[in-house]
Amino acid sequence: MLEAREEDIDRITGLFHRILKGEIPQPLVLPEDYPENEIRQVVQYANRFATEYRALADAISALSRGELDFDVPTGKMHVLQSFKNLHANLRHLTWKTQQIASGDLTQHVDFMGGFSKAFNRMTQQLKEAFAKIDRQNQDLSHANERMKRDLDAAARVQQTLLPDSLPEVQGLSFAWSYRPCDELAGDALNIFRINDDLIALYLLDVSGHGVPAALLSVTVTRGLHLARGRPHPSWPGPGPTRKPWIRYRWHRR
Amino acid sequence: MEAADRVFYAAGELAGKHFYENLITKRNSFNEFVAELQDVLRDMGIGILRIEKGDIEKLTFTLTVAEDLDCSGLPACDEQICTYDEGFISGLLSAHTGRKFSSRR
Repeated sequence: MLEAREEDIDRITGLFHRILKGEIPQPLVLPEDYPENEIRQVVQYANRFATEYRALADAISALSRGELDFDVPTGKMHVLQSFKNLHANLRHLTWKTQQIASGDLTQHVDFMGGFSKAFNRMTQQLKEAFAKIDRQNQDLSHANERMKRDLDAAARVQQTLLPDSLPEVQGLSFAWSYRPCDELAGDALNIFRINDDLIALYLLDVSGHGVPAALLSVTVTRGLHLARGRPHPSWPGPGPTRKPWIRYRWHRR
Repeated sequence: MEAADRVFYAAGELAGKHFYENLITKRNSFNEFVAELQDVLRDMGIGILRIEKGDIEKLTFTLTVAEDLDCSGLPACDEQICTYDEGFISGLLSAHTGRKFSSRR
């Protein structure tokens, strides 16, 4: 016949009472000489439960603060297994998100029903958006290449309008250098002989750069080249009444 | 018991290697491999694979397989018998990386 002291039963009741009140109780301690009976067995089980409960309570508390980097308490209680499952899922979700953040959009999740659907949809949309950006970048790149080719061609044409030979004059030497800061320059120059006495030198400095400036300088250069082949009213004559843009008179000795 | 564990582990390892060779097609990157492995394991009803942590440079991974091969549906016997799974995971990872892996429950 088991004889239980009322105070021992009260202590066991107190342990569960504290758990139900929201406290985390300390294990019960029985005297070493406490008899090996059912009361000792109940205390042992109550202590085991309290220990696993404390570990679980600590872990859930950490999880509720957003912490995931802790060792999950182990045990065979269903609640511990479920908690392990939840913890593993959340850590897996973190890992998946890290992979997606690093650019791997092939990842998807199968957890928490509506959340995983929304998450996978978001990933899919990101994938489509990135693919669209890639396509647009490619189109831009191709357009840029075409434009660059056209500009290079225009620059080559512009180069043909620069002096291909320089007048030979005893005691003088001419040199020029032409370095556009963009693909196309707005400037142009030429040095050529008009007749036995006159050398023409002009330097066009069109305001601005790029295509509009280049077109203007090409137009003017073209006009000047045409003017070289035949008399032109605007072409500078030998008299002082007509002012050439730049005129160099060389007197043969 | 230890001898039985070793046999289970080796069997799992062999199964993992052949599983990789016959059922995994995306072998170029670890992430693609994991994504496909998850799908195949789930579709074949083997288990739900979850990578919790992974360091591809150090080749260390923490993963869980829920409803796995030999731990689910076993009668409660107060013993965990998961050595086959350990071998299976080890075989899969070794086949993918070409490096010897050891997995620990």
